[in-house]
Amino acid sequence: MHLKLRLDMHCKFFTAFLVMIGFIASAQTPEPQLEIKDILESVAENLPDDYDMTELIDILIRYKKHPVNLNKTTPEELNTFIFLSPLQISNFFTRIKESGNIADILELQSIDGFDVKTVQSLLPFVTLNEDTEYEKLVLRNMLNLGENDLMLRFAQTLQKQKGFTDLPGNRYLGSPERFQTRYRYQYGSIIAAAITLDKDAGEKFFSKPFDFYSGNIALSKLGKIKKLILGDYTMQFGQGLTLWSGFSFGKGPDVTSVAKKDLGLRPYNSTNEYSFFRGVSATINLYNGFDFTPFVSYRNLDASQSLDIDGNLVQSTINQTGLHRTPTEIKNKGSLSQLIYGGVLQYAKNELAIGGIAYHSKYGNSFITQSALYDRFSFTGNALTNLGLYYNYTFRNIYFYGEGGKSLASGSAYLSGLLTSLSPTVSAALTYRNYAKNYHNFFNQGVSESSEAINEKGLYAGLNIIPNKRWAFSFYGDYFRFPWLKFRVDAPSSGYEILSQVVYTPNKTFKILLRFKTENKQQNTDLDVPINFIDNVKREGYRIESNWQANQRWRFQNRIEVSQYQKGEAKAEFGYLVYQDVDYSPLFSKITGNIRVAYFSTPGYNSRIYAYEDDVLYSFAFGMYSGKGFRTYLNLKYNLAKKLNIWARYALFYYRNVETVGTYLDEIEGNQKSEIKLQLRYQF
Amino acid sequence: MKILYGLLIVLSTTCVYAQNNLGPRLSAMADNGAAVGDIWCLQANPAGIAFIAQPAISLNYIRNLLSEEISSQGIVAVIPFGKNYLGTSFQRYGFSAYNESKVGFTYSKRFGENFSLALNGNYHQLKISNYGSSTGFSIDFGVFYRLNTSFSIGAFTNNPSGQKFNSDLIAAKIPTSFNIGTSYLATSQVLIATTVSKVSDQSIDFRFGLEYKLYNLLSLRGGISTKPFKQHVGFGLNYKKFAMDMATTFDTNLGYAPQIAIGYAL
Repeated sequence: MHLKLRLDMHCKFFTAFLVMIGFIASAQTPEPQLEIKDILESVAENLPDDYDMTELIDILIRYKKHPVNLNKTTPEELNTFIFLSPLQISNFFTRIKESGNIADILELQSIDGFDVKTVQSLLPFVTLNEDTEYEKLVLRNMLNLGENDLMLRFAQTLQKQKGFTDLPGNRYLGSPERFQTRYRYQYGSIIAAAITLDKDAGEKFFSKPFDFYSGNIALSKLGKIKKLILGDYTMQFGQGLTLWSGFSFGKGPDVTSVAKKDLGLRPYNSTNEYSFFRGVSATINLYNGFDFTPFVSYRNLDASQSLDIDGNLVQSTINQTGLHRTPTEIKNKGSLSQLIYGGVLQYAKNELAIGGIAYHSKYGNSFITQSALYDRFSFTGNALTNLGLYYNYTFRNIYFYGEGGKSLASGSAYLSGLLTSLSPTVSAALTYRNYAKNYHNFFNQGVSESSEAINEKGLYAGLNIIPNKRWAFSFYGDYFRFPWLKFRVDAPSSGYEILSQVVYTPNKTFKILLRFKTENKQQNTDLDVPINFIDNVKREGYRIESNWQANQRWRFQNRIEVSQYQKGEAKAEFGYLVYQDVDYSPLFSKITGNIRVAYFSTPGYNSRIYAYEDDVLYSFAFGMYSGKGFRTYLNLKYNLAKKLNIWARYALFYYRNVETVGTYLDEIEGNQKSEIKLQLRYQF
Repeated sequence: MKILYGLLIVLSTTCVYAQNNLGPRLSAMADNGAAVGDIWCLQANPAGIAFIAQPAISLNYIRNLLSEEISSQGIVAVIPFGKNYLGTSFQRYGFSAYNESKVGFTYSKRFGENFSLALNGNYHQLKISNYGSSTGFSIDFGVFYRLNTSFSIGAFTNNPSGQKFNSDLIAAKIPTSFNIGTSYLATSQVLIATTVSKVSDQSIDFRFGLEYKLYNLLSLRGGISTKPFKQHVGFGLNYKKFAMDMATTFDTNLGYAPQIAIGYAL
């Protein structure tokens, strides 16, 4: 049986290749994913390196299947559309309030701030029809109309990494495969349940089936109880200074993305092993516009601990990677308990939303001051109380937003900003932030230049100009200061970042993008001196990218990117990346795929270049191009049956003039690193 | 302390000279004077004055918060004669022990409705206590073109012939610069302007500015210069024939420099 299945799969694959080579597109299932891909590509640039896009993709796929009724929607629902800015959402509801329901979807274009591109992006996911709801909680319905979604993913690096060899000390104890499994059940918008299992490369597989388990049951629309989640959940409120788990948008070519759109309480379905809560939480409507979200969470986190003079276990930081491969990592696993409880009270009515947050965290062991001077203001002790207050308010064409956060007995942080559509073609964003060096918060994701939103003051100003549907300009400048020392910066420092971008779309099949980005910061000198002084560090990036569609089947993307790195008086370092992407996705084909061929050359790690890569399930991954060599990958998707899809990916780095790839335990003998990935998805 | 200021000025002399006093409106828009019509164009693209309808005059005062003593004053005036425009400007910068001044006379001619050329002659003077003084002479050219009601393009150059001060004692140059810019009137309320500027021995500066006319009475402005990095912000009040503008620039090294101007148009 097993063999037969495999044989069968082989046959299918073979057929798939034949189909691909022979251009025989069999007309069966439509391919609705192109528009999703377009949207993801356009927002990907605003996301941090390690963002898990699954959540974003899931939301869009759901809306594709069950479009949002625009005349019945809520600000919270529209917030989940990543490409809508808070100002657009606010303008939308102002329009509904003033002139009633929308009768024709094209009326959207008359709303302030809704340009042609936004409307086009929104169209596939919205409707004006009433008959989409099937929200009666009956067991028979739940079995018949519920949707099940099972996804299995397997990935492995093909070359043997040093950690998997028989090393005497630290090494990877598990096997090199990575497995992920996710099952989701969804019934309308009232019940959802999910289980996620994950085993990273190097983690043990057979002694304990999976390293990471996550799951939840979420109920919505139960009268006064708007949401109730049991299990793993995330919380996002205000501008992220006080309570925000998971990742968030930051500075990017879409300048309005600095204003965060909070999604409140949501079930957690990602494989990231750190940024979530485990316990129970609910959002309850108290009275009119007042919502209350109490929560409690208890988890065991990973931490490297030592004994203090009294013999107690203490730690200085939490390990967030979620990797448990080596004896040390396994020893540190779950060594620190974390209990959090608190609540969020929010009032939202018309143009105003205002919220207050209060929660208390209690850790099983105490945090101690870190040895480095730059870290001497970090959190110590084992209990922390956080308070926060956030607001947003729309006045005419201006959307004001802000948040202040305070950790009791230590510092505070605040942020205040505005978005405004100065005219139908011009929108501007302005944000001031001020985060104290001793602001202690484990769930702080405020907009910042540093990886952590502490020890920073900054002013961000950005402008989007879309004079017509062919041209789009964006421009931002961000000036920041770090009043206290930082890692590798032995003095208070400052810097700025500027981005400017032009996109020209003369017609539906061609697009060209030019981008320039410069970032100037300060860092300790590389010179060997008794006392470090700080040098200016300049990073610049120049990008030209073109997208063109030859016909219904073939799409191409080319990019050239040049990076420059200069520190102090040293000679500037230049690197470049050139790639060609080809995408094959005919409208009614069983098979779709894409391929990249890239050549990169950077003199060192400092002038490295990042570029997004297509992955399985039209997901993305950040590719880091450093050194000199070729990069190529191939993604294929095959619809085995109507509800059963399979993805395959092969990716290769081929470096020139090197003897090993990677560092430490990830080191590979030779000059190649390749990876395969397989994914199966069954929706029933 | 004075020595310190003097040192600062001497060290940044070329910068100082390149930074003509453009008045708070253009300053708040990141010194965007290449393609924005304004009386203070006399200090930037002189061809920009050929789109001013009435005789006008404006007075400006800049104070650098780094030092109580350093300040800059300026005055500009324009008189149109049909399609011919005459303008004059004067600016002074420095403190008791050091000061620079410049007088300029401009002639601009408009050809048709949308195109103008201008020539500007400057007389410079530099005085340093116990060192003596020096004078110099320079020429600026400007060209301005309105493509349509919303889009304009302009270019100008300061001292393209590379004139110098006449004294050997003071080794200060009169900087040469080349500038090109555009402006875009997105709606009757929103004006966006950019300039790319190259001053001798300095890296290319890209500047970006915005003016938003909230009401006829009140305009808000902001901008960013890239090299050196500066942030600009300001506002303007228009009441009948009077205009009062305020602005401040923030330079990473030199701090805040607020300024105010009062103008009158006949």
